[in-house]
Amino acid sequence: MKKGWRIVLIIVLAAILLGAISMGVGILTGADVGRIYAKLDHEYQLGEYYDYFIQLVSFFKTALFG
Amino acid sequence: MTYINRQKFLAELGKLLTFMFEKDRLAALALYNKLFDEAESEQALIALLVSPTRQAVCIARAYSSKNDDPEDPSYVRVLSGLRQDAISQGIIHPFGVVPAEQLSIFDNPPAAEAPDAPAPAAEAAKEAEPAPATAEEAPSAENTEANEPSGSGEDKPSEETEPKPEEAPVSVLGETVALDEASFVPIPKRSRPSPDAADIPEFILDDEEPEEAEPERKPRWFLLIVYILFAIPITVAGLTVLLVPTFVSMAVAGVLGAAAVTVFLAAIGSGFAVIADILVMIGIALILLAIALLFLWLFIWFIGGAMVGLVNGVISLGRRWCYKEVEAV
Repeated sequence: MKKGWRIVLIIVLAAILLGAISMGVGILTGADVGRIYAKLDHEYQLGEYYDYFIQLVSFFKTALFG
Repeated sequence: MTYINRQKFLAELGKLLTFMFEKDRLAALALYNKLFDEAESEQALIALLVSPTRQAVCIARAYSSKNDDPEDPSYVRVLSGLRQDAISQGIIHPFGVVPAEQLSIFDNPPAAEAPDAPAPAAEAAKEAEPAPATAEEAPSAENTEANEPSGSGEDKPSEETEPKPEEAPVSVLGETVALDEASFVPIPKRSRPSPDAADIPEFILDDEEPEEAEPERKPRWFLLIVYILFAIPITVAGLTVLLVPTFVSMAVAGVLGAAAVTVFLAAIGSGFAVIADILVMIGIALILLAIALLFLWLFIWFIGGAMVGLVNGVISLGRRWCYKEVEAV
């Protein structure tokens, strides 16, 4: 298990590092986060998923803590 | 037996001694050379040595001895023994030939012993006839004690007191060897390897310290029953509590993994025109995938590590509390 944790953490950190580098390069070369959000919202209704997630969290909050 | 000369004997012996270190091989061959230099009769010495193969076998037995002293190697002792045999049989005269007229305090020892064994001497004389080269080899322990002039070996069979065994030639290592007393090269007892710890099987050595008998474990029944009654509900409660983070981890891993795949597919196939936007999307997908992998491993750890560890811990605690160790009778 110890060895497994070590391997998983290495892979996770490497993937996060790559992702961060890719995002940094994209932002530096002219990417627009607003444009990306608008495109994804148009394709996958991100706004509705976000509202659904907020409702779920408040539901669990009410159920658990009253 | 085939008759060979000194050169062929040493050449063959040199080929057979390649198992030795080069330095030792050359030293052994030098000693054999010295024997031949000292010997009066080459054929007599070759008859004593029997064959290069026989000598190689003797050297090999001595060379592999574990109790070898580097300053006095065992193969040198073998060759010294050979030299002594050659001297005793008159093949080598280290101090020169003693004149026949020289007086000796050991006056006529062979004459005093001759009447005791006329028949064996006759037998020995008969048996010595078929072996032409071995006529001079007849060993006699009595001859070594007497300082009689030793010249040719023809006198020796008549002085023989012990009956010789039949000399039926046998095949040794592919070479025919005539078995007679002279053929046997006595190897000094020191060269024989004595058994040491390496030769003794381990299971015998291990018996030196007898193992202690494992103590028996006897249950304390009342305590065991009470423990089981409490341990089961506690373990079940613990497993139930652990199930919550387990399923939460699984759910988070699934959601994040699905999101990562969706973002990646969107980056490739949704018609993003700007490369920078695609790079940002790919970056987000990688980060989501990494977090999903972490939660997936956490889920596996909860099942394989936490829950299994809890059950094993309860069992080992019960073993420690509810069993007593009793020495085996």
